[in-house]
Amino acid sequence: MDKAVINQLPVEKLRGRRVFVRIDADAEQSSSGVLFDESKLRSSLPTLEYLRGVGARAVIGASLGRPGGKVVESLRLDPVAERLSRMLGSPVRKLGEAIGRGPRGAAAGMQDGDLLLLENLRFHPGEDANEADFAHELAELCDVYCNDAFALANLALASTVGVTRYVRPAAAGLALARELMMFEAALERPDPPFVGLIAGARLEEKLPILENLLPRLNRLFIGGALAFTFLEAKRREIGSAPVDKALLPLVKDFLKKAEKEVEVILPEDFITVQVDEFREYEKSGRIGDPPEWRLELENGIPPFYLPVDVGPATVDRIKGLFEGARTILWNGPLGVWEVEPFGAATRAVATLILERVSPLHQRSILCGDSLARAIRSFNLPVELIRHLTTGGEPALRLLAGNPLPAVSALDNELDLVAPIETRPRRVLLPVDGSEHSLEAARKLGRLIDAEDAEISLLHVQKREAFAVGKAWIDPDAKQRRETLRRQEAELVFDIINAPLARQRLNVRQQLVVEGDPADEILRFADEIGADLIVMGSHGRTGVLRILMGSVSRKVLDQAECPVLIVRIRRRRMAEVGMLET
Amino acid sequence: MDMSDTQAIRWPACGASDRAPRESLRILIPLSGADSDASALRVAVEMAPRDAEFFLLHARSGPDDERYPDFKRASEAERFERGIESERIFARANAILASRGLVSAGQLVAQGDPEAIILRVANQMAAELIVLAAGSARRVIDHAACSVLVAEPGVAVKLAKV
Repeated sequence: MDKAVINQLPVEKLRGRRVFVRIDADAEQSSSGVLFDESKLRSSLPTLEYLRGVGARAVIGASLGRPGGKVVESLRLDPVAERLSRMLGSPVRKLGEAIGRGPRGAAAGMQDGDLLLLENLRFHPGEDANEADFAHELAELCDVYCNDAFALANLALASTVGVTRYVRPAAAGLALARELMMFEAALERPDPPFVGLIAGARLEEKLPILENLLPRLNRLFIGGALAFTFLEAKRREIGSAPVDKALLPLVKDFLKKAEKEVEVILPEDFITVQVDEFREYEKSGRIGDPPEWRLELENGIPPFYLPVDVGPATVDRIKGLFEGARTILWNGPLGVWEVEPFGAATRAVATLILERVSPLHQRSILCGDSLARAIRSFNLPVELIRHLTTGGEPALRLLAGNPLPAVSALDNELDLVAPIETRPRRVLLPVDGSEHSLEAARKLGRLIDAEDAEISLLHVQKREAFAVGKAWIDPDAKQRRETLRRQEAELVFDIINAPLARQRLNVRQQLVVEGDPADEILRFADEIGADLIVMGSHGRTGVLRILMGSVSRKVLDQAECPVLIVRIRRRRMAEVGMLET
Repeated sequence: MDMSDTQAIRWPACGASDRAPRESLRILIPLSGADSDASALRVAVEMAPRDAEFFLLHARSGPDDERYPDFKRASEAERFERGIESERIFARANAILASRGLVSAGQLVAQGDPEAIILRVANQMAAELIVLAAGSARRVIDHAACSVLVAEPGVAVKLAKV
């Protein structure tokens, strides 16, 4: 993995330093209120233990529920602190706020090995909105950043993305690193044979995953509700099973392509119920016994029957797929597991993985929120299943080949070895005393972050602008010309310096040269190693456009660094009488 | 995923909760899906001031959805595939933004003539800055009402010389 992990940082960078650790305490809503997910809390213990062990001061950030950016009493994190204290065997001090004077004081007064838990971050609207101010406040509390919340990695939060703008190093926690390594192992260099079980519902979400996995897989089983559209594509009788007609053409294309490359297996037998009876049962809130079921074999599901699980022959087939497999990826439940006994196949396959898949020789990755809930509901020893991911949504994103913003925000491992040197940017601002270059100077600080930039002003004077021809007659002419030149340049620089000074921008040098403006601009940009050339232009038709435009155009065509064309506003152009209309 | 036209721009999930009093700089970054997208994004995050808001626009070339709604109704499957492509492009772009602690303030997909779309969207959203990958989008550079930052200006010409 190319991202820095917290235990790769030298211990002296952690000892006595405040480390912000974003953990995931998140929760499932239940009838009795919000219960936080202990398995998620438990996943962050290794990181917290590690930090305490090396004498770091952990400032823990977490969120619970969806308080919608305001304080909700029932979503305070006191129970989380209590549970964490018990799990870690050392006190976790809980604060009543996440930011502000209280937390700043508390963070400043920490001792080595202390643990501090901030109040629910989502009490602040800035958390979900990745607000810079909120992120900055969090950054004030720490010296090092660590993200250990895989389940939130698909989101760009102030505490997962924004804060990394102000705190470096930013490293992955041990749980996050483990998750990423598992997915990387499956996606980047899977050990063959690689078996994929893709099931569940939401075909529109799974199709991109299937496309992305296809070149890596050796065997593919498609199950769950999304299999119905594949079965329809194969013209099998599927009774009243729902089919996504809109995506049918894509499914057909996929099957055609997939069957050339891998072994594609679809369910062979089904547990079915009468569709009306089942709908009635669902409508009544699943009270009492579910409707009577029957087993349908491969010859098809009769009309008015709905498949709710796969049958034993299909489970056997899956067992066969696992034989000799080195990498197994399973996403989504195989049946309507919420209704007993239609979770039977899902449970059988989970048991198979638990009992038969050897963690020494095989790698299995189970993902998806629905599958995770199913497996937990079966009372199987979840902690023995390797590897059941804590994040449904981020896992799906990774499987579809899309990066996670919270992970991109972290330092690369290499950055720890050779930190990137930030030097002030060199900005070349050609000036000619026109409204255009003045506008460029006025807007510079607004359009780019020029605070630490070194600005070079360049004034190019045209040779023919002065009476060169008379110089040989009048010996004073050369002198006068020089004076005139200097005066003109000083005037131009004065005009430009005023707005720059107002924006507190640093002018490093003022240069005056003679020649073709575009050529000189390009030459100087090269000479000073400019990172940006800033040109004023109004970009409208007219005489001025032709004059200014040609310089801008040439610079744009040949510059080796970025070019910013600052547009003069129409209103301002009207003010200075440059707008014809 | 909303693949609808750009007539009324409703940027999804802008997260405009408690804005700073000063209006933030609205930057439009058009994306094409090409590798050069990355250079525009990198220059944008490198140069942008702290309070900038980044709006991503995937301008697809094809019949203009907005101007010729009846020309060819895209099938559901087509729209779906486009959606996946756009999602991928946005995910990559957001990863680059995230590497500087930033996130896009809005994302939009539109189909038509890319340069015309960029100009239209920039106007509608009152962008103050457009960040382009290369200098080849002349129409945008010449006709945009706002400032334009070109990440790799010389690229097109350099390639032409080779």
